Amino acid sequence: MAAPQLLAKGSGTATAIALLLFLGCAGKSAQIPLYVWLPDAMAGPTPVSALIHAATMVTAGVFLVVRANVFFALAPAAAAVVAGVGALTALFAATIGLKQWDIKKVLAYSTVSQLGYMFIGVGAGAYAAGVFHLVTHAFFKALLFLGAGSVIHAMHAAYHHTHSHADAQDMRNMGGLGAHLPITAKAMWVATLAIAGIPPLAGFFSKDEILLAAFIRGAQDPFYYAVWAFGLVGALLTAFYMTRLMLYTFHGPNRTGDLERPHLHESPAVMTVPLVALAVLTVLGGALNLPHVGSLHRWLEPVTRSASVIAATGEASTGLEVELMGLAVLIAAGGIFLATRLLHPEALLPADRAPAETGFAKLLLEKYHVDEIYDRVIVRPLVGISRVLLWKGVDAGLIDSAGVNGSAALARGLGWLGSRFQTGQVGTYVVVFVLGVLAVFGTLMGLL
Amino acid sequence: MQTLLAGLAYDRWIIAALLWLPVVGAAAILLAPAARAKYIAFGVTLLEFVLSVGLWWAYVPSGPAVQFIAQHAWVRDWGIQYYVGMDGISVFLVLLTTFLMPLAVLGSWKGITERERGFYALMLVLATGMIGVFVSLDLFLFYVFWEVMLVPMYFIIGVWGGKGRLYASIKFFIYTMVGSLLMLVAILMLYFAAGRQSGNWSFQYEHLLRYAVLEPRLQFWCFGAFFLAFAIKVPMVPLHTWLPDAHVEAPTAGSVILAGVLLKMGTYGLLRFAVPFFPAVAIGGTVGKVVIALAVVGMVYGALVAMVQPDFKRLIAYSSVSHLGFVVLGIWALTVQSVQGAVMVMLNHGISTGALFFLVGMIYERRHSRMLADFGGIARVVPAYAAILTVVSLSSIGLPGLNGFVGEFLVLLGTFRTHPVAATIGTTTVIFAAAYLLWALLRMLYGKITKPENEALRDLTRREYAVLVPLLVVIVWLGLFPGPVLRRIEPSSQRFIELVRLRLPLEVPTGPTVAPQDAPFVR
Repeated sequence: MAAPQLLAKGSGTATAIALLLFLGCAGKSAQIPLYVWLPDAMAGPTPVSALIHAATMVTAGVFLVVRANVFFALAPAAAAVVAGVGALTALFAATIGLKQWDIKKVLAYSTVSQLGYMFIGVGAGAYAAGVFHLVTHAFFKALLFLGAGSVIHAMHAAYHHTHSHADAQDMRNMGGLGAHLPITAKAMWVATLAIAGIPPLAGFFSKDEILLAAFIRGAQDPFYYAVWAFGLVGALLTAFYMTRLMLYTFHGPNRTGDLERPHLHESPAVMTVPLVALAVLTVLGGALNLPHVGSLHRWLEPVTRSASVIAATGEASTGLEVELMGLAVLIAAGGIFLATRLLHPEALLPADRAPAETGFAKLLLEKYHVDEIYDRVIVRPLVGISRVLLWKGVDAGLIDSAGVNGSAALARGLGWLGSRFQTGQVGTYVVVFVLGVLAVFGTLMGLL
Repeated sequence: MQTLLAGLAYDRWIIAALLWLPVVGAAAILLAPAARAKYIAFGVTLLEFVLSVGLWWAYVPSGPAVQFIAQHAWVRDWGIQYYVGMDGISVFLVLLTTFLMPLAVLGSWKGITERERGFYALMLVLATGMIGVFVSLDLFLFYVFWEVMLVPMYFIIGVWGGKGRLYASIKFFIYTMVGSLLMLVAILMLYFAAGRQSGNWSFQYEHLLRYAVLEPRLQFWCFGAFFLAFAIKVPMVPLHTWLPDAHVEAPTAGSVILAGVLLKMGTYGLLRFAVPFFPAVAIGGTVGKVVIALAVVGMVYGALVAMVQPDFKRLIAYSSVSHLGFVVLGIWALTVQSVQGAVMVMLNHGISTGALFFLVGMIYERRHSRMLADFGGIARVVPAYAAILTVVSLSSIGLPGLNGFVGEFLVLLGTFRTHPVAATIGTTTVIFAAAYLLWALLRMLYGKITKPENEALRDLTRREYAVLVPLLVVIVWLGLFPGPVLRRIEPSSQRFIELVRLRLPLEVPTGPTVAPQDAPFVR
């Protein structure tokens, strides 16, 4: 028997299975509350970040939800959790991305945010849309990471010449790099427009499809309207923080340092050719799922058929589709426009001279202190309880001191007590003997 | 291979050879010059291993329950026999013993410099005791081997151990002795009950199994005595505190054998004696629930306490408490998968934890410290050591593809069908295992070198590679191809469950059975 016959739709078991699967997916694909590892993992080499932490491995959680679509179709509540967590993560991570100075950190939180979009899609039952975004995101996010790698490479080389210890990943030390790394800058601009959702680049199609799916689900379950709205605001922030990254890195005056500047060079072909290849894919990737051109939907049909039988998804009228599409483009363009208006790369100071952040900006830069909260609430209490209560208390105190050594002390005490009767003094023996005899007599008399 | 072994009449002499060769070796060591001791010990244990490898082919899973039987009268008047044989479970525990012994000798090569003759002779006697425990089919004989093995271990810890060796060895000895004397009383009770019932006086395992009918109250106490003896050995919380002390003080070889083989004698005893003799008490009713609770508590407790240990050796000792909880859980869950898993965990724990103790010993020989805080960043100076320690740790954590995963997964899978809550809580252990071992690796191996003393550490020597590489091979082999081992364990696990079920008045919940064709990924 297959799952649909064994599990009733909406049953507790189905919901539990789906939620537990999603917990694993949330860990793997860096969703709230298990996303904190991904930005830290960016400490690895940039190509690893590009491949493992952006394009492939982290998307395994999305993949698993798609694979296990039957369970999520059988558990609408769990699917709503998936979409809700996705929406929350998409927005939350995007806000953190707004204030990061480390170029890789921005991209890391961007990845967390984009994974949130994928979960919005699969949570809304649009499995093909989720996979579509997974694929297009792989193209442009790998491009962004490799581009960041190219930038960091150039920065390192420049700092190496002067033995400077300035941070090669801090955008406040960059600026104006477009003149020095033209290919990297152009390729990354393609990816930025794609992730922001500017047509006809790949990201536009996939993100639009996800938001459309959420909106359509809203007709059945108004909760999904909120999901859609979160996604939309997230899209605005995405366009904003990505434009910010590009402006601070490649435009405005250069802040690397006068001695270092002559040593800034475009990376060799071995690094730029992959950028160009990914840029081409970023431009053309949207065709994967275009009606009449691509066939991702039909391709995935055997996988998602059983889910679509259980949970029928609605259809959008062409008019609505066009309206939403227009809105999405407007939002993306608005984000880019706002960033160019509000941000002033020419006013930025290098990292060592930059003033400290204050207020909400500081909170964003410090990532809402989530790492510290986890440390206080989970890690330290667990270690503390294990050390103080379990080890020193139960193990060393209760079992060893009281139990084991206590019984040893008891045995020694009894032995000592017994040894008191072996004093070797005849007088004592006589006294005890007489007392004993008297006691025996007394008892016998009492009995008689 | 099978025809060759049959031609040699392998099944008739193999147990005798494995049992008595070490004794001969020990005698030879005592007669030879001290400098020769380790060579003789290594030669004998290696020969043992080579001989025992034939068991892989000679044991026929589809054959009789017990194979390689040898039976002679020993004390005729009391019905005591020299009666030995092996089923699938014994075969692998014996193989584990013969596999670890030469490595343990090789691992002591440089570490043991005083009274070498005594040390190696005791190691060989220990081998006889351990193998004897796993092959005895006469309970008196079993008891003799059980006690015989205690003495060499006592001296190995007490003479060649660290600073607190006296406290540790006496603690170990008294703890074990209390349990085993009570077990002796229980064995005698079974003996007299069976004798009265059948009119036939014998300590034979099957004889006692069939005729030793005790009234329920006595059954409870009798089970309690067996259980106590084995639970101390396993060790189960809260009877575990001898283990960290014994491990920390024991020399490397002592720790390896203690963790690798001796602890398994406890779980083996539960599997072979405590549960089959008294299934109604052990499995049904409150006792069964208490044991499962103790197993689960031990798994979590051991892991949490391991997490906060500053001493790497003590950390591994507590991780043993945690891992052995899996074995007890698997036995009590009473499904084929869980019992097979329990046996697999016994083997895997022997190999992985044995390897971990070797690795700690190697770094201790260099730095005379086992404190995690004394290291940091040493992966830069000893890359090969760091790589092997990482792989072995991952296997101990239970990373798929390495051996540890197979047993733990089977236990959890099998347990979930009868005790879903226990299995669920048990799963968290795997997370904690990752936490305590990876955290230890992080502090010890990675990052910058924090102590100048560590800058000139020597990486592994050829002798050390010779110890570690066989362990690594088995770790990967059992991780990727556990099938042949599981196939050989399955009939014996099945037989254990039938034995218990047949004698169990209460129906044990079995959970829904899944037909193979509906679950293509299960097989």
